[in-house]
Amino acid sequence: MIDIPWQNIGVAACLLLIPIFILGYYKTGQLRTMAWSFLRMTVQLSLVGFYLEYIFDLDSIIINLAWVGLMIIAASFTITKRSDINIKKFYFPVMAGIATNVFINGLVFAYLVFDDKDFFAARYIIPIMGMVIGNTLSSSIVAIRSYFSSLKKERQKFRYYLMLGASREEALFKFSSEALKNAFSPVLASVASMGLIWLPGMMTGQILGGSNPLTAIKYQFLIMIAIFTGSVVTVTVSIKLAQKSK
Amino acid sequence: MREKLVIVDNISMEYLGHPLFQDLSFDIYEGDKAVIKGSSGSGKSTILNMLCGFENPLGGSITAFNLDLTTHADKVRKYFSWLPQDLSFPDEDTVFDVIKFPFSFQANSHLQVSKEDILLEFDFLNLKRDVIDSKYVELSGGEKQRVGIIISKLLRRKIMLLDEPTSALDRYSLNRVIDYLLNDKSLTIISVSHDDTWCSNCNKIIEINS
Repeated sequence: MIDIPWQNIGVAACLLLIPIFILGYYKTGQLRTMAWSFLRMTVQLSLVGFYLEYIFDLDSIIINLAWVGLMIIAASFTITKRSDINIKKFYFPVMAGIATNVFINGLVFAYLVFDDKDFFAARYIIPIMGMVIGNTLSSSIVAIRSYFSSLKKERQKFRYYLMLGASREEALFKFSSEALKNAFSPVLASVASMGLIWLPGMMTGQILGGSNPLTAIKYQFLIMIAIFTGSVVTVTVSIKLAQKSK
Repeated sequence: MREKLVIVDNISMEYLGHPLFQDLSFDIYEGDKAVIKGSSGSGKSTILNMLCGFENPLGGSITAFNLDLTTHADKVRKYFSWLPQDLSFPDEDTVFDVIKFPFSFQANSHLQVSKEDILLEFDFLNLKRDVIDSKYVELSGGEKQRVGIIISKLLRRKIMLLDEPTSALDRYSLNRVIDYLLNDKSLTIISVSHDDTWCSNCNKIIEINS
């Protein structure tokens, strides 16, 4: 694959002047957040590059699993924080949701798709689980935020169902259903347009890296199934456990 | 002799440090049609919330069906149905979905309600039959109120709690609702209302003065 010189990346970064101008012109108040986000991304990617090289060299199952554990911890914090919910109260339900997602997908990938020895190798487990967890974030945030904000705004409806004979679980049913619908309608639309309107990042990366397009498609197909299933599992387990802890 | 179902004994309530009402007492007997009256913000809906067990009085006690409401709200709720003032449902839900949903709860599984049963109630309350397949969000305020009333009645609970059930109704529909609810001797109703016609058809008026 052709390497890109750092000065070329610097030039390409000038593209950011366009969003800076637009976001500033419309007074969105997001310039500071944008600067902070890109700065964080730069530092994190540089560190990840460094860490991954080291971890790939070591290639120890324990360290690889510990890395996945770290990703779960960080993702749980991000989801809880971005969903505007009480971190203390909901961190563990969300973490349990992501852990269930990783467990189910891990089992399938390790024992049904790959040979388990291959899958636990750093070059497979870390990027695959990273993609599964990372791509779960946005839909989980939408679902969990929508669930708790509608429960807050429509407390009257929750109480109404209780008064009409619903158990707590039955009264919360419509809220869960709405949250899932809000989070996954756009995801399903994007799944349906894949390959037609857009080429996903993982597949593009593999093709750029020199892989056979057919192999890249197989990986992409698997990863999309894992991401979608994982997102639904994460949201459902998080919401169910959060209901119990409330 | 009529059974005493609810005893409200010397309850008081505050809102943001200001007293809403103090030492309010009343009893509700089987078959009563009670209305709580008072100026806006006097705490009328709060009393219904207390009867639902969602809020507790600062002083005094509420006993319903021989159970203390502050400690046994879950058990007492099964005797009540409740119609609050504002309710919203998902945009895609039809009126039929909204009406059927409470009958899917385990606690109501003994109640069988067919579409035809519901349509008969529609006829009685002067609701057009085709409204049942409309989206709930597209209904007028008066239609929504009548749908809520039908759900409450079909659940056949011992007591109906109704918060401003007729505020959006025209005179004709109001009379139909009065006939449907207040002239039915088997029903026990505790309502909140500003409507003089509704109030004059109730046998018990509870005035709230802060």
